[in-house]
Amino acid sequence: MLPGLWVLAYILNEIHDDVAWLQVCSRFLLLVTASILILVFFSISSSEPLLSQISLRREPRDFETMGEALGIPDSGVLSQREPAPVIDPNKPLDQLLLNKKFRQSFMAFADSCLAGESVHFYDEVHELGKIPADDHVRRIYMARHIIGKYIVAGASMEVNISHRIRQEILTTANLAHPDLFNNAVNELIQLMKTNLGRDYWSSMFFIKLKEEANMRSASHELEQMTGWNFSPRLSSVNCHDDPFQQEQFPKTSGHNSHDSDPSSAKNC
Amino acid sequence: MLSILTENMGLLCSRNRRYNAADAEENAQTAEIERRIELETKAERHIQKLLLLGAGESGKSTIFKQIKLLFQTGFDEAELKSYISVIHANIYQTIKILYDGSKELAQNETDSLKYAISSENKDLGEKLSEIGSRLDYPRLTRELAHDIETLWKDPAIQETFARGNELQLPDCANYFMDNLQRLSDTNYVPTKEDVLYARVRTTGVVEIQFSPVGEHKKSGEVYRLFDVGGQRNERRKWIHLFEGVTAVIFCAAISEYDQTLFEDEQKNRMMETKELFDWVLKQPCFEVSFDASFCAFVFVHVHEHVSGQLDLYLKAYFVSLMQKTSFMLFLNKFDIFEKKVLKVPLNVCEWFKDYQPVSTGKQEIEHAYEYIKKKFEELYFQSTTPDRVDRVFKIYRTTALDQKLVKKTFKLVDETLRRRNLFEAGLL
Repeated sequence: MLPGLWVLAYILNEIHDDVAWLQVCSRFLLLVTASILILVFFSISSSEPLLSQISLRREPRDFETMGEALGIPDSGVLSQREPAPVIDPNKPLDQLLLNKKFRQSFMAFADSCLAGESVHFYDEVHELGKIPADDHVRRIYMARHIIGKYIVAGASMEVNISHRIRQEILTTANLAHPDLFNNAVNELIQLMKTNLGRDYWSSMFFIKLKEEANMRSASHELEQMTGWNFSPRLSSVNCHDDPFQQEQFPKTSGHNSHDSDPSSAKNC
Repeated sequence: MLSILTENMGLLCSRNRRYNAADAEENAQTAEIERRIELETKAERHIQKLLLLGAGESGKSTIFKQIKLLFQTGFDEAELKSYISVIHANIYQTIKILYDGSKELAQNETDSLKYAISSENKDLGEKLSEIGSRLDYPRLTRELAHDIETLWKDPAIQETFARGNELQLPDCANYFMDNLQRLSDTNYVPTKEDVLYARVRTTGVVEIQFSPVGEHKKSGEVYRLFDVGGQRNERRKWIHLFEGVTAVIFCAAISEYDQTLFEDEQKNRMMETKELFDWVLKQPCFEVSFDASFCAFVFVHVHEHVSGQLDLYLKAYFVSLMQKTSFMLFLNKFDIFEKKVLKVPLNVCEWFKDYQPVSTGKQEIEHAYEYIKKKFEELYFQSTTPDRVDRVFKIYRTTALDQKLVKKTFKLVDETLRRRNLFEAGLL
């Protein structure tokens, strides 16, 4: 629109050079539109590809995850056709986490204990692993997203890793490196094992997973189980201002008298 | 049948007329009794919320374990055995940190020969360092334990251990290294002491509910204790717990004045604790733990209808809800502090830069401890606005590993909280 206006003003200026007020107006317009265009040009972030900036075909879709936005296959989608896993508690956690259904269930459990960021991080690094090693552009985008969300000090879902490992990632020369997050993932798997490993198996999240595995062909209403998200580790935290989007806890009989305490209804 | 119908209709219509003098008395009494019972059960089950806060590795989870041991069923054999993998992991991590540390010191230091591992032990070191970087640690066999012990005894490793404050060594390093034979036994079952020493970095929030059964078995005091992670990324989760807190137990490891953070090796741990304590004290949520106006309303209502002993008890209950959150400061790791303060001067920490040692031995330890305690008191009163000055603030010297001491300390905490409630109810 602005370039069009500029062109129009230029033409008017050239054609009607005898009309004084038109000259003034058109020259004024020329100057103003030119300065706006210059400002816009310099304010465009140079880190975004120019092509996407000037692209006329706008993508109005809102992506839930970076993985989806980058077109990583099966990203964020829990395929219903995936076979229900037979979960063996004796297998090491890092192997169990490779299974998507288990990962989602474990993630929900971790979120309920306010320890979800480690699993979310694992999940997104797993997504990163699906991008081919030679696709540097997408790898860099995903790596930057992960770093901004999980690694940078003060990040919204900052993970609990040591100083060395954080510095290794933040000062890396190669964001597309396939092993960039390996050390961090290892450290966090240890953390998940020692903190969440035992309690998960006695949680309702695992029981729900087992039930789903047993009812793979049934048309049962799964909604009846949503009220069972009870975690033995933490039961009484209710907060609407919630970065992990936890579910609100229903009253579990006998255990949680905190719900009848009026103070729990209030928030800071 | 018609008569029954008319009778019932009559009853329905006359419901409003049931409130004649005699009936009214009876109904009021029944309602009264029911209300009393309800309030009494509620009051008895009033749960007091306790939060364990503090920087990373300050001893929160150890106190948490101690409370479980003291007031719950304790650890059965299955639970004790579940710590074997943690203890073995601590051992592998420790020896890896020491070996890698010695290599780094050998490279960077001027007198690097001190940190040079003997050639026979180099292979051992490389092997153990590789094991320590795996996801799944192997079971600690006699052979592996022997290897670790050999490497541990290497003078270079001992020199590195002496500079342990510059590495991120867990406090249990020494303890486990000295017990390798026992810990690698095939039928090893961890002792309670082993479990208390075992280091697990906490993430997220854990809670337990317990009742300190003392001489007053009918007290009905129920505590809900929350343990949290202390590293910087974990602290954003604390805010979810700040509502309705009876007391904050803030753990500060006084032995860490010469160490740096796990999550930021540029920051001194004591300085971090100082800033964190200040931040926690200034949190507005600890001002009043309940909506004061609602409380006042209930208070007045109760007072009108209920009489006698119950009235006072209920007053105490409601007033305790209105209380400002109490602060218990646990100056922890005194056992490590005792040994360290005689070797490493307090002034290495910026906060303690004006410290002057006065003597030696036990006197000096006490003097140093009192100095630190005074520093924290000053910080407390600096960070506390005038209207909050009357909230309860107590400092305790603790060694979280010492069960007797923790039991004694907790008893004092419990007494303080109960006295607070009674005092405010006007009973004291």
